[in-house]
Amino acid sequence: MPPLSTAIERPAAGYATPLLLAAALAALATFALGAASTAARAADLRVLVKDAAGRPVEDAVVVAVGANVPAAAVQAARGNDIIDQIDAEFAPRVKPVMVGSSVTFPNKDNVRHQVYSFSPAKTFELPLYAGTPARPVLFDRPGVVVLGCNIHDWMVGYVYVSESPWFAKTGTDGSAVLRGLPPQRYGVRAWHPRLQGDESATRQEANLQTDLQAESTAALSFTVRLRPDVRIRRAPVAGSHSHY
Amino acid sequence: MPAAAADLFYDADAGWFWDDNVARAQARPDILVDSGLAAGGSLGLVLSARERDSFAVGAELRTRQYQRFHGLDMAGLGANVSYRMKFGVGAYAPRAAVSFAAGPERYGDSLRNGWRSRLALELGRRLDDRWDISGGYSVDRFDADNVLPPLPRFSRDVYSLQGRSLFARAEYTLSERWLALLHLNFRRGDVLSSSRPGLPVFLASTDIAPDAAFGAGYFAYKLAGRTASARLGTSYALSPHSSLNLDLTREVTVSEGPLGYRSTLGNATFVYSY
Repeated sequence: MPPLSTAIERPAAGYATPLLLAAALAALATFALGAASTAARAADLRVLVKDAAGRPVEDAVVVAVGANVPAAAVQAARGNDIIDQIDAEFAPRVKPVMVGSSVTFPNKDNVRHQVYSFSPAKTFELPLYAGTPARPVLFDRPGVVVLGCNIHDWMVGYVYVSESPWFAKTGTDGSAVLRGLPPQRYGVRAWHPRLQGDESATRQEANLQTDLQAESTAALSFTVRLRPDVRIRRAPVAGSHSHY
Repeated sequence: MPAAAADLFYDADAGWFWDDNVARAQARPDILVDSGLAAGGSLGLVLSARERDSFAVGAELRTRQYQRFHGLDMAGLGANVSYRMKFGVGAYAPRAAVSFAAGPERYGDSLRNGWRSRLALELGRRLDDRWDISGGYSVDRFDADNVLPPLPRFSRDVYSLQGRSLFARAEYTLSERWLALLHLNFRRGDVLSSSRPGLPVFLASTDIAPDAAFGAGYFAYKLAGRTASARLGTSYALSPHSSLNLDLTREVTVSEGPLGYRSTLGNATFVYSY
């Protein structure tokens, strides 16, 4: 292939030079506009999660999985996260992270904690500690990691380790926004600690190439069935005093 | 590395109680009903030696005030130590605890004053997020401070009691806030029954003394007996640290021959714990 500059230097006719230049400029403009258009269309996906009764579901994790995953997106999503222990509870109770992320578990209580997990996605145990443990925990496999404290049985938390860089957690209004999604097809799914059935059953398609003709934000809605909220009781029971 | 710090805990409770046979009398004419207010609080330190076990020390203050029979009004102070261990990691690991508590109790009727102590061994396990079961064995003892001089042929150390118990507990979480519980207790040992004089109870008792708490004519009898009690209750979580509890305890005591008594106790208690 001859270099482009050579081709330009060999016009077929005298009027060909300005035409070729115009064509090159047009191509350049098209490329530039296309790139600008693609960047502008890196879209947001707004997701609403409701339960069977139509109530908003808080602390649901929404994940969008696309075939094309830019390295920059992975880089941005992967990081060092924090789950505090405040008033003998995990805060936040649900934490979505990108696979390969680390999480530190600072203890902000004046009692000691012993954080552990038996989950297949990550099995670990931090020895009884106060303050901040020296080393964070690396979450290197996707899946749900259920956290507990061996001292305070009622403490339960969840690390959702996502294989995709596009995830978000719903707030009290049941909504979450996945930001900066490149235009492509996505499989979007929702998970919640009390989700009935398999997470994969919630999967929906979102085509951000066609869904975003007019606006830069697409929307999806999930209706999920939740189990009753039964947890290990923390509140005291008369006549059953138990201190550890 | 295990941390060397100690964790502080404290709790408090207050409530109303009702007792349909406060004298633990056997015959219907002697049965007396009363109710009152109870309150208590405790403060302690958990000293965890390793991840799997802990050692705690604490102090407790407790009082019961009756509406009718002020001789039963009580204020008690206690100290307790406990050692707990888990056979594994996690909420569902089996657990064991040994505890000892002791302290003086002061009553409106000073003849009832004394020292109460209790040693207990308990094994338990949480089966899932709803069920928690436990059971154990305990030895209790009350040593009266003021014992009347003995009379010929019988002692008057009627308020000094001791016994051994087997107990079982089951707690079931009904919902985010509600919990149901069943506690069973089987005790063998000394029991105290107060009534007007009667020949069968006189012959069966080992110690007898006047019982001023219920007025003139009532005597306290110490008997050897077996007591079965069942406590059925529910607890409503007001917050992570507090709850409102309602329970009913049915107690049946069988002593020698036809002797024995039944009682029902009701409690409405607010508990705060941290």
